Amino acid sequence: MALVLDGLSASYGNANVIRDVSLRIEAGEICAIIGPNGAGKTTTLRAIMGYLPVTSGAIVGPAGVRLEGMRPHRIARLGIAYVPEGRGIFSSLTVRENLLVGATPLRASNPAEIGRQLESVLQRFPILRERVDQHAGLLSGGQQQMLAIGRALISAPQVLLLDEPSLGLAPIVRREIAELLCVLKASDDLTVLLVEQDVKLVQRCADFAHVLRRGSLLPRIGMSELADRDWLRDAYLGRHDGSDPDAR
Amino acid sequence: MDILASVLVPVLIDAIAVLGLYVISASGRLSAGHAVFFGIGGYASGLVSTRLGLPPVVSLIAGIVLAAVVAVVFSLISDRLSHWFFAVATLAFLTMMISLVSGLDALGGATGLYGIPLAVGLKATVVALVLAIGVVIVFDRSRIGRAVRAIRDSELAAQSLAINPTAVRAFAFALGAGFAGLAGGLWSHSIGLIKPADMSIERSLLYLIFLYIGGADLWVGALFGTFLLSLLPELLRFSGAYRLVMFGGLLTVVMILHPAGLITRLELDRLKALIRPAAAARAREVG
Amino acid sequence: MDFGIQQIVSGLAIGGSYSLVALGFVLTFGVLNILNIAHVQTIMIAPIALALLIAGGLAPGLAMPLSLVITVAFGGVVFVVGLRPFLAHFRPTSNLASFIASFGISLFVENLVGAQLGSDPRSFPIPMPEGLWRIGGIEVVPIDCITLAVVVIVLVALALVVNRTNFGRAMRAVAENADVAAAQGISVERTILLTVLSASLLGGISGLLFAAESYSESPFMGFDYGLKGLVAMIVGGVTSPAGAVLAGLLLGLAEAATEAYLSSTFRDVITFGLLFAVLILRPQGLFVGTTKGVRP
Repeated sequence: MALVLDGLSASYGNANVIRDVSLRIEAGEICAIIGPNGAGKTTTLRAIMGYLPVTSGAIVGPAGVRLEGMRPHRIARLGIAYVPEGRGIFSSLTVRENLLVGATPLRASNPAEIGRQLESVLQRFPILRERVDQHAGLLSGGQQQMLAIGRALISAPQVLLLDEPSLGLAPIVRREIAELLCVLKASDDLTVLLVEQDVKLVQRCADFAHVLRRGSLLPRIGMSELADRDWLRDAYLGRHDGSDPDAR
Repeated sequence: MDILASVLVPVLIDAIAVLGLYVISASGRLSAGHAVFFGIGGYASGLVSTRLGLPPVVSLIAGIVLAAVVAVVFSLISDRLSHWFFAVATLAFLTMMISLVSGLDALGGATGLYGIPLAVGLKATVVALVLAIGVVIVFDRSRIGRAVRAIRDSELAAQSLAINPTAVRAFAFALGAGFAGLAGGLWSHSIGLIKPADMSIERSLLYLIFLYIGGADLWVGALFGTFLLSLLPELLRFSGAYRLVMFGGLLTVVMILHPAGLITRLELDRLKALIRPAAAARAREVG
Repeated sequence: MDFGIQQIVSGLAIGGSYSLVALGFVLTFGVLNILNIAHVQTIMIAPIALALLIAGGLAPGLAMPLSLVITVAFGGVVFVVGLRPFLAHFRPTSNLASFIASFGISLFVENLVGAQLGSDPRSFPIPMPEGLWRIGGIEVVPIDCITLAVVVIVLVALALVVNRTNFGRAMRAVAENADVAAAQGISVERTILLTVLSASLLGGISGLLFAAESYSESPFMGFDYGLKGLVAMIVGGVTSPAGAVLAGLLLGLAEAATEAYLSSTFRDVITFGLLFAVLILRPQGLFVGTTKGVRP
């Protein structure tokens, strides 16, 4: 078990409250959270990452460590990587420097390890190697997304939190991201919690999904339910509570 | 009576200047070099009455107008600066003017301008302060006063309401500078001279201290801060240097613990409720 | 007095010292988003501490580094006591209150020192070489030479730290986006503290240079020199370290030129007038930093 949320509730100022959210992801699985805008998807990720106070419930990370109440940089050093909405790359730093910053959790270990991880990321993302000394602000949206993911992966995390990686990107880039996620699942035993609006992308690589609606998480569904457009629309609109896939 | 006047007149004059600072703070700006307009008003009044021989009322108006005009120009030039750097710019302007005025023999150099008619006493300053308070009250309730505060709270929203932030900020800055110019003119006519040391960084910082400890949300706070902090050290016989040490520490503590200052809307409402409980209860029902 | 090589060197020397002050502000403002006026007192604390240590019998070779240590400690205390209360989740909760508080701290410190030690200026406690030095065929004032050398060394060291070290990268990352930096495992609070300490070191060094150059120091010197450093920061474009350096040098040269061609009474008029000239002609500053879209 790599990530468990147990009755998690959190608030973010006055908006985007999440209530009693529970899910369980095993190591190597990709779980997607989908849902309408303003449902609280980003809030969920930010709560896991320690940016918001948890009002009740538990967050259990790899090796059973309880994460509630911890500060973001401590959580990052426990093997949980976060790629925020909008990429969050450092425009004024070069590609290499962005990656080196991402390697901060590795500082405690062998310095040669950082060099190895950097090399491995550049190998996985050749486009980054080409532009390794360019300022990250000059990259295209898709390249920045690759950089953001590469920066998250360089510290060899166990859990990856991805917030809307396909946002604002062209369809061809979205496909690349979906393929990347499939590759990661297969090769790295990486656990991924993916927040996405693009249902097709989710269908390509996720193992299961949850709908988050108005702060409440519906029970998990498989990729076949996801394919049922009407069911999904009704779930988003609250016409059913998501428990019965045949509900109309 | 003379002793009372000699203690009160400077405080009343300062109160007028601090009211000007209050108006400027309503636009979200910090006039950290406010004494520069005090000096401009004082020197203008001094020159008009000594060189042109015009009566004090005219010289005071000249002081107000010149301060306001300079303020508009300054505000337009510095408009793009966000509030911290605007404050730095006001300090730079003050230092520049101190240097300029000290170096010009026509203005009396470092010793200053002498021979200004002693036309201002306790009565005149009280009248001036009452007028100033009147203007501030009108400002607070007027459309332009609301626009000024709208700019401070959200420039984006204000722009969508067809309020021109640059013009509104310039207006508030000019009005506030005008108050300081009046204060400077009154000062020069009350002691008969004006010198570069009268427009000092120390005076500017004292005005900031009076306003922000007293409470920058309400003009009452501006007055309260000025009177309290001017008269209390006199009563407690604090010696010069330690007075500023105490003020500096007090300002910091107030900003950390209660940044709205001593007199806030909340305090005022509580006070009103004590005095007129019936009216307050009615207001609560309606509101 | 005409404006020859000697005056240019002098202008660059004092300009370089202004650059150090401006850089301290740029770095701190970048990570903290608070303009900490109290920082100007680091300019004063170093030479005053030096004078006290030497008066207490300590050798100059020990007293100078120790005075810088004291200055750095002072900067740390000011941060913990006066600025940290305003931070919640790495960002200032109230911009204006923290700024005003920093004025309060600045006033408190300089008047406390002034009240305890007397407000009159005293002379710099270490005798400086007299006369002129001959370097490569030009005659220069020794202290100007020393100042330039120190400034160059400090700038090179700073550039290396900012561009090549983990701390420097962390500082730039936090300046751009503190939240995301935290997600990378960077302790934002520690980065801010280290930046404040580094800025205090820069302030202290510049203070020693200013005091040595004018051969005098006073409890109120912090504000005077500090204001010029702030002006350099704005002229340089506020968020740009390179701009701060250039603007500082420009300011120093302008001062030297004013003293040569006009009188020294009008020196401040030109120096500060430069700020307004730049605001009219090139309002975004000499350089615009790429770290964020903060309106200067």
